[in-house]
Amino acid sequence: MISQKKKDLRKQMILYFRNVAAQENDKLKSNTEKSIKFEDLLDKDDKGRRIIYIIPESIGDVFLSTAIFESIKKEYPNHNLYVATKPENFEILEGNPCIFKILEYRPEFDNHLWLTGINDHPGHFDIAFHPYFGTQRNLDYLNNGKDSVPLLK
Amino acid sequence: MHLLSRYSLSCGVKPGNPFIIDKYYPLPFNKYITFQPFSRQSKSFDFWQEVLDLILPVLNKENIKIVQIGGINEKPFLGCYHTQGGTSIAQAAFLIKHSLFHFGTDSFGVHLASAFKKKIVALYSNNYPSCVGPYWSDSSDVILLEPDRNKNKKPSFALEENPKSINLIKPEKIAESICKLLNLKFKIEYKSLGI
Repeated sequence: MISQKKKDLRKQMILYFRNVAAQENDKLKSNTEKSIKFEDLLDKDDKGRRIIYIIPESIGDVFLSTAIFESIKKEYPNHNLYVATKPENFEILEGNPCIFKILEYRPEFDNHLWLTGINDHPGHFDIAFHPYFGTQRNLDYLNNGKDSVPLLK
Repeated sequence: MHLLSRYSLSCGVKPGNPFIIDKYYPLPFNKYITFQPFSRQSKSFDFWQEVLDLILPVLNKENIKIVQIGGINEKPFLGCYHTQGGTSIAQAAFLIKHSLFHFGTDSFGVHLASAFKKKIVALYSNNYPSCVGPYWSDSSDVILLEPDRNKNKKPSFALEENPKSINLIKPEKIAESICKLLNLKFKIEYKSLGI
């Protein structure tokens, strides 16, 4: 009987401390999220010279994408190239000399106008590439595997 | 068109060579081939052990080891040297870069092997190999196997299939393809009648 009471008390204590920890974590998280503005993630000196390339997933697609970064840098030598993807893919991009900064993908990145600007919103980037729209959202590249791309030859 | 072509067109530039930093991973042997058996459910073949049982005697004669790469929870296959979950991406790149050959399912490893100009045998099921296959390889260096599609049935493009079409690829066909690209003699006295 005494042993059971002790067990119940222990359970209650664990539950109490878990709740307190969860509440504190939530507070901390919301404060951190509020204090970091998206603009703070970007360089202060490259306004008007920013390109973002977004490829949320997957590891293979991120690796394939590295094959066009050099061409992008060649075409826009004075721009900084930001690449956005999910954190599990960051390692693929580490040390890439063409990339200025790696950003964590967030759903707002799907909105081209949020990225590049509309009306009073100046946008964050001059150029935003969304290559995944045609491969991870709509699958417009398949064509039974039969189309050729003379522009790239 | 290939995924990379699609990405290039989105940006208006031509593709070049990919970039990855590789980092040393110690192995107790030098002569090996890499094997990545798993990917998404629909792309994961269920009869790899049967393939390995066929090729291991041939590889053992040549003292060639098989290094299995992949994630930590992936099933280890008999006869392989296991590195699953024990490598970073950069170390996996190192392993593939220094291997004789790569085989497995449609996955990141195939793209890496293609970038390093390795010979490849890879299985494709839920998409067209011409759209998602190895981009940088010569056609003579790769064998890309697909299930026989009856009545012009097309790929599912799904991450999960039930039943899985990839399982229609016959183990002996995979084993034969691996030995062919490795220039090893392979003779099999039987064939799979049904799976």
